[in-house]
Amino acid sequence: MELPAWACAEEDYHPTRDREAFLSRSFLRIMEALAALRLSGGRARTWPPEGVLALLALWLLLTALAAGLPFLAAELTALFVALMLLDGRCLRRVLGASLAASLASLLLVAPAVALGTGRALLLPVKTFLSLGAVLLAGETVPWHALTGALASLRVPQTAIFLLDTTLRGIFVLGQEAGALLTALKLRSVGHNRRKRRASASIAGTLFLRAHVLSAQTYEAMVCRGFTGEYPRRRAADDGRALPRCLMLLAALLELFLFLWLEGARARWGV
Amino acid sequence: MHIPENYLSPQTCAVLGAAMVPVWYLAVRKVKEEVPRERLPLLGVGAAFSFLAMMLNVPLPGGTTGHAVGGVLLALLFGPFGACLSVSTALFVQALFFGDGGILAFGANCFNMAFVLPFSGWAAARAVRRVLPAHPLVAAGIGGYVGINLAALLAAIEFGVQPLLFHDAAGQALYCPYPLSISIPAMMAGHLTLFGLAEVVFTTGVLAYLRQAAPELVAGAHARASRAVYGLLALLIAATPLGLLATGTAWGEWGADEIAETADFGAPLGYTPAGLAEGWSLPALLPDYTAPGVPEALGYVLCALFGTALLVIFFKVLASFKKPHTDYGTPSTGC
Repeated sequence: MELPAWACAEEDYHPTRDREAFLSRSFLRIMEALAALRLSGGRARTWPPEGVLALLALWLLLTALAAGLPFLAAELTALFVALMLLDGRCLRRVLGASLAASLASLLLVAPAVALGTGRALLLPVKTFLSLGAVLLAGETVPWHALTGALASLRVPQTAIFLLDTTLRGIFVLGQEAGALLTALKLRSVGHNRRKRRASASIAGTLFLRAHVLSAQTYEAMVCRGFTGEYPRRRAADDGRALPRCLMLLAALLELFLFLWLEGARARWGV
Repeated sequence: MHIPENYLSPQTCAVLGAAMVPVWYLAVRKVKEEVPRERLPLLGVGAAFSFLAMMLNVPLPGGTTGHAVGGVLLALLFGPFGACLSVSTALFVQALFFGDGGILAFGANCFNMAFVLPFSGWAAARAVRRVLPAHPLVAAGIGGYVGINLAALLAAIEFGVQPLLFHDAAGQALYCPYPLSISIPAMMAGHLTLFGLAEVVFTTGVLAYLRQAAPELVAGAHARASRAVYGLLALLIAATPLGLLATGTAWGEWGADEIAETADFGAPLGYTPAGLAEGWSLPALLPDYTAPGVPEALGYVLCALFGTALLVIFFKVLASFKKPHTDYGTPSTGC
C-alpha cells in the first residue's frame, strides 16, 4: 500500500514560541486560591469561631466610628501584636493585601490631603486595620467554621446560605477553571493570537457550568440532609473556656479603649 | 547614646553611614549563609530585646539618663553579624517611628551601637571565656561592659570633633557645641558606672534566664521562640514604664529648644547652634514614645508593644523569603 504524498512529506514544523504567561498566571492564581481554601480546613481550631466573628464585628464597627488617631494607634498596636503570632507566609499574605489596599485608599484621598484635609489620612489607616483584621480572622479560623458560626450571631439563614454556597462555588468552579486552563494550555501549540478570545471562552464556559453545578451542589446538600437551616452551635464545654474568656476580655478592653480615647479626643481635641 | 538629628554634621553622618555599608553587606551575607531559616525569626525577638533594653532608662545623679543596649547579648546568642542586623533594625524602628536617634545620624548610631558594641563586646567575652571557661556569665558581663563603654567613647569622640571641624566665623559651633574635653568625660562618667552596670545586669540576667528556660536557644539549635522567651518579652514590655522614672534627658540628646539653657560641665551655652536650629528633621509618628491623648505610662507600653511586634514581624517576613535548606548529607533521625 502506498502512503499518500502528504504522509510521506518530511515533518518540519517548528511552532513559534508564544508567551503563555497569561495562561500560567491565571492557572497559578486559581490554584493558590483553591489551596488557601483547602488548607484553611486543616487549621487548628484554637479560637472559637463565634468569638472571632463577634470580635471582628466589634473591631470593624469601632474602627469605622473612630475619628481620632489615638484609638487607631492602639488598634494598630493590637493588630501587630496579633500578627506577630502568625508564621511568615501568612504574614506576607495579610500584610501584602492590607498594605496594597491602604495604598490604594491613600491615592484616593491624596487630593483631599493636598487641599488641606489632614483628617482624610485616617482612611488608609482604617483600611489597613479593617482588611488586616478580616484577613487575620481568615488565617486563624477555617472558612467553613466561620460560616457555621454565623448562625450563632443570628445572621439571617439566607445570607449564610448565600455565603456558604458562594465559598463552595468558588472551590468547585476553581477546579473547573483549573481543568479548562490545563486543557487550553495543552492544546495551545505555536503562537496564539487570540488570547482574549481564549480567556473569554473559558469565562463563558465556566458561567454555563456554574449554573449546572450550583443546582447539583444544592441537590447534593439536600440529599445529605440539608433542610435550608444552619443550626446554632451549642456553647458546649469543649475545653475552650480560656480562649473564650480571653476574647471576651479583648472585646471589653477594646470597648474601654474606644470610649476612653475617643472621649479624650472629644474633650481635648487631640 | 542615640545621636539625635543635626548633632553631627551631614559630612560626619555620610562618612559613618558609608563605613556601615560594607558591614551591613557582610552581615546580610553571613546571616544568609549561617543562620538557618527556622532561626531567623529569633533575630527579630533579639531585636525586640534590644529595643526594650533601650527603652528602660536609668537615671544618673545630675539629671542625665542612659540605658543598656543588649548588643553583646545578641552577639553571644546569634553571632556578631546577626547582632549587627538586629540592633540596626531596632535602631531604624526607633528613629523612624519614635524619633529616638536621627534619620541622618542612623549610620553613626549603627556604627556605635550595632557594629562597635556587639563586635568588641563579643571579642572581649570570647577572650575572657578562654581564661575562665567555667564562667560564661562573667565573660558575658565583661563583654557587655567593654562593648557599651567602647561604643560610648566613640559617640563622645563623634560629638567632640564637631566644634573643632564645623564652626562659623564667630567661632560658634554649627552642630554639637561640646569639645572632646567635655564630651568624653560627660559620656564616660555615666557609662563607666551606672549605664555600664545596666548593660552587665541586662546581658547576664537575660542570658542566665535563657540558659535555664530555653537552653536550646543559647546552644544555637534550630529552635523557635518558646513561651519562656515570649514571657520574658512581655515582662520587659510591662516594665518599660519604669524608664519614665528617669526624668532627665540623656547627655547629648537635648532638643534644639533646650540646648541653649543646658549647663552641663560649666555655664549655659547661651546660643543654639545654627545647624541644630535650622537643621532637617523628620516628624516621628510617636515622638519620644508618647501617643497623643494617651497617659504617658500607657503610651510608653503601647510604643513598646508596637516596636516589639514590628521587629518580630519584620524578621518573620524576611525568613519566609529564605528558601528552606535540606542537608542531604545528614543521616535521617527516622519518623
